[in-house]
Amino acid sequence: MQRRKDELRERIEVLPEEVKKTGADPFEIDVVSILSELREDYDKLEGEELVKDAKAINSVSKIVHMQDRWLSDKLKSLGVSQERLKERFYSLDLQVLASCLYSSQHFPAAIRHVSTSRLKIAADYWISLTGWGRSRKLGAIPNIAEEKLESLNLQSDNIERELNEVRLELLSKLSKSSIPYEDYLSKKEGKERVRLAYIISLLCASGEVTVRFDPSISKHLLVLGDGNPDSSVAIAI
Amino acid sequence: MSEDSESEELKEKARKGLVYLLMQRHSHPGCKGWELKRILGRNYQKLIPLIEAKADELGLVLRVVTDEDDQDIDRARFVLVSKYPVLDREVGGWLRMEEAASLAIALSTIYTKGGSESKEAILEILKEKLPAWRSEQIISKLIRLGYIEEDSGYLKVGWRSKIEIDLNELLTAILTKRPD
Repeated sequence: MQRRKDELRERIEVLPEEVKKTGADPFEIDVVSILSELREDYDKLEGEELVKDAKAINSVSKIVHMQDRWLSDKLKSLGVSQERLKERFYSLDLQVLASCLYSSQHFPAAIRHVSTSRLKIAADYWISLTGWGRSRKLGAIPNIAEEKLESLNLQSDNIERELNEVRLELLSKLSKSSIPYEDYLSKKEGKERVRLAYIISLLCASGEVTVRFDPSISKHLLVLGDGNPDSSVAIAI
Repeated sequence: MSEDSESEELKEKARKGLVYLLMQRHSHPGCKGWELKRILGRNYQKLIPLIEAKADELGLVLRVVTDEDDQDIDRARFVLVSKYPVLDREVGGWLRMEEAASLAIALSTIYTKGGSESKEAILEILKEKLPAWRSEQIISKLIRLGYIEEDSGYLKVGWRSKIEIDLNELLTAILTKRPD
């Protein structure tokens, strides 16, 4: 009796290979009756017999897996008609079609790591953004020797006054059309020109005005800002 | 070498392989077979079941994607993916809703057509649901992201779809989903 059961387990063990080799229908194998036969003497098994039983069970699970694959292959080979598929596309709205994709999408798992040196560079950059550009306020005037500021007439009182004048004039002009940056600066010379460029940079930093490059005329244009401050503004003189 | 120490060594290698697969070094996820060979040794394929078992504990599955014309396992891509679909859109995803829908249409059409379909035919279907300019924009984006491959005017399933999308599940969902 036990000898027969041993042989049965050995035969079950090689079943998946045989099905694969012959291309037989895996549903021809009666999995339920095999399992009930294996269960009959399971309690009496010992040592090597238990190993054989485990191998047989493993093969049965492979057969079940093959049955699953066989079904999906059949579904594919039966050929879902293109017309039927198109009908489904047209009857389902985009949201439902998207949810079909989501329900079959398995995202890749990956851990991205940032090196310490890159983190430091990022932190330095972030800190550098907290002054100009991050705040809608104009911020403090850079720490330059007082004499130099005096020679350029860049003291805060003068700048505030001039800033308001230029701001009103520029915003009124820009509300009609953009102005080439160079043309706007060309009305001033020397120190005055530097001061005007500096004031424009302050307006850009406040988000009221911005500079855009127009490739069609190869010129930088002053345009009305969208309220988002430019994080850095180069002064071109 | 004793059996215990050999088994420990195998476990250690499997752990190393799992970590290597998880760490993204390139713009693409996972790694190539030859990279695993370099890290784990010549017999790295024998370690795959152990790596799979460890990945399973984390709710992940190892996908091995070979090139259509090149079945060499050393050149195949090994990627860990989530065992179950991630249905919460907040968790991840590169695609907007209409892009995901277009990908569903393109992939299921390509799949049922036996692996490739002309770009024009797919665009024609998409244009029934979206403006023409948007359909073309989406197809270009899907090609750029690797979800679809273009070859002489014909579209095929791309490497990213082979990894991420279960085409049988997709087709079943499209055929069985009820319209809202």
